[in-house]
Amino acid sequence: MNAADKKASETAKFLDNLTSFLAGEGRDVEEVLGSLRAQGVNPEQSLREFREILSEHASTWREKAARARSLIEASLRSGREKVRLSRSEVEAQIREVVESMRSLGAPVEAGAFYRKFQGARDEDLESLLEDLQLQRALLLKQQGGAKTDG
Amino acid sequence: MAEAKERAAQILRGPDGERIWLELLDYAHKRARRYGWRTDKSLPQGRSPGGIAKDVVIKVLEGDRTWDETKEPSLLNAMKGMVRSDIGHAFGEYETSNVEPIVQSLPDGQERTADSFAAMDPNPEQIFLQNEQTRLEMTALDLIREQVEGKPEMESVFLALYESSDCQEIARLTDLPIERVYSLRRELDRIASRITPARVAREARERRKQ
Repeated sequence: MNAADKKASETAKFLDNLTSFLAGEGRDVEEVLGSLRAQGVNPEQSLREFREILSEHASTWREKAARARSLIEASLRSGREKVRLSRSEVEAQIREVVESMRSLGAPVEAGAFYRKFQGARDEDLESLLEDLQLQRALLLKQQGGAKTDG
Repeated sequence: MAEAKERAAQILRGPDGERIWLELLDYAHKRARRYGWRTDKSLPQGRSPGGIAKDVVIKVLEGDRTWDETKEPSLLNAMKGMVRSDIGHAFGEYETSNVEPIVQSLPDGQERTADSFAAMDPNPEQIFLQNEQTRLEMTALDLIREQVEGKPEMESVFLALYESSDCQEIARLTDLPIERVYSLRRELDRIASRITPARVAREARERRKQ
């Protein structure tokens, strides 16, 4: 290695060391925040992005359930807007959903209400059907997830 | 590798998660600046240091990049390695794409073949590129040196950086207390953040004219 090569290699090593040193251990959060700002980065914005990454790619079961629930609710809303079912159709669907949930091994808490639905108003029945459909969709999703994980 | 990604998610969601993210982001910016000092370029193809740091976190969480805790117990250090590698590749691709094609014939008109080059020698374009990069790196180093000159403690840290990047080792080499090394590092960080790749390139051009 000639003198010029040696100097070039030392310079490169110095800049690598400097970069690692400046980003090395022993800094508190305030120091890192200050360093980011000095480089033109908005740390608050980047923290918001980080939280979004976690929510999307490392969701807790609570976040997953909330997301699934809002998707299903939206789909149910759009379905309800399209089709208006008769009372007997709603009752038939409630029976069908309850049976399918039982076959999936789920205790159906709405069962007691279901037994009395003869006296319920049309709006209450529609609401009960929506809740049951939602619970069944979550149940299916949960069981699908468990199979995939297994 | 489900365990590794779940463990990474657990840490990133934990009390240190946001600090790890901020440090990774800071590291990505510093690495990009380091390459910028050599190439006079920001990241090519519209990529950004923040984007690269984000990709690394997502890939680790999805299991597309594997964090082997037995080899590297620190998640931050493991992800820093991935960021370093990705930024290196991004600049590497840029440098390769900017190397001019080799002239196909020799001055006497004969066709140039692989035999015209010694096996491991760089070609003329690579030599030119290397010289250019070295010139820019030396300019960056000079600009930093000018900022620390006349400050004995900073000068000693500057010299120690030829040997090591580790704070403890630098404290040992300079005989300075570790807390003082941390404090000087903050000052050096402020200096380095003002030495942008564009400023280095401008300075290098000026020096060439002289």
